[in-house]
Amino acid sequence: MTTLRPYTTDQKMADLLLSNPRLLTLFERMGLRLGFGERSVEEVCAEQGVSAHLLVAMSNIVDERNSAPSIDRLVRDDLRPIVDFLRLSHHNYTEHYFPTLHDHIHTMAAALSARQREIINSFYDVYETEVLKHFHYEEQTVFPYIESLISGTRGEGFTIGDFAETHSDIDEKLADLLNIIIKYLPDADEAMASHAVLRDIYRIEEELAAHTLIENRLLVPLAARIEKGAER
Amino acid sequence: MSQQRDEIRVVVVEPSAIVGYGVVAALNAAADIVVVESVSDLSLLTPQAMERLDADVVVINPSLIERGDRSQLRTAHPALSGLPLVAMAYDTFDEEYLRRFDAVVGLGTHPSLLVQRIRESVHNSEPMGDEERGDELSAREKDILVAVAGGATNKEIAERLNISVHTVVTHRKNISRKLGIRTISGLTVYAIMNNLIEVGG
Repeated sequence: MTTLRPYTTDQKMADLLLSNPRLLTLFERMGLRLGFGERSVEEVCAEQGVSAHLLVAMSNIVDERNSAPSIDRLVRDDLRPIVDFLRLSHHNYTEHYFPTLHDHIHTMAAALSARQREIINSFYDVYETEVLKHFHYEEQTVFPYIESLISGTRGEGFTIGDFAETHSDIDEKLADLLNIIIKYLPDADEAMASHAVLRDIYRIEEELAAHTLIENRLLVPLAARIEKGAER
Repeated sequence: MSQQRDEIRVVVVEPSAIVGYGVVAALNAAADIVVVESVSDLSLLTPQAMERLDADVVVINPSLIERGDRSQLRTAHPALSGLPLVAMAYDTFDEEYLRRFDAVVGLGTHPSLLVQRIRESVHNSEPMGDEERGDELSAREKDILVAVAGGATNKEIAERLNISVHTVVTHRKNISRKLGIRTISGLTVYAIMNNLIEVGG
């Protein structure tokens, strides 16, 4: 596997998006407007009020160019766009990805026997419930805590270390579902439906992986640094 | 090895008396094999009888299993669950059906090869070491999988199957490696997809 050069703030902004369409979602969520011309990442970000170092760090994670970017250049104010990004990402899962996957799973399972249909559907439902529970925890507990760090009104109790510890692994079930569909689903007439499910899972896996990395490699260490009072 | 004993205990289920005699004679000739029961059909093999016999492997004529039960061989009869099954086949059967057995022999099988197949089928149901790699689950692994899917803990499984917790853990690792499935709910889906357990079980 070849490793691509990580993105930097001094390269042309347009080249990021031209080199990988995966960054489009990130750009959308960061609120970047197109029409970059020949300007650099740094210049465009300054114009549009986006943190260039954060955009580059996130781009490197999403595009798998550097999954452990340095947070040295990031500051307290970068926590806000990270949390916004994660919230939008949650919204995308609950409003688009999961309903689509849910429908595709049910279409696929319709061709199976009753007991097989039941177990596949319930496996998916349990998975979705777990993910939603995790999202809910982040939205009710973690993000408000981060927001209190941003505003400097942090109370006693929760610390970012607690989040790191409870960060459950929800990827395994998705990988299991992939295995089951590819290897063990009985020959079904609904091959197209199975393919649709696989495509959904690949997309979710990819985004969830980036989502998890952004939490673990950017949000958590940055919040931990700010907790320690390294900066005001 | 899970069971500290040298002899392989075999149950033979064969409707033809003369074929049954032949199988029993061939197996009893082997020093490490003992035929603990030989019957003409499955009805005599009650769960109580199977428990008393403590068999390691069942040699069975595939025609004894009702056509409708063949897709769910392991749950068709209590005597067929959890043990390696060797088919003594001398009619024509679906290849797919025969693949559900751990080994298939016929009237043309040399007695020494029959003995070898019996040993292999039992050996393959023991936990595998890292050097051994197979794709299909062994009968023992299927037992463990069913128990895991049913919500049993490693300790409960160990007690139920009379093996050590360590052996259960080894089996579970092998199961996940073979199937690529790690979560308990994923294993449950697999078990139901493959008719290893009843729904809700």
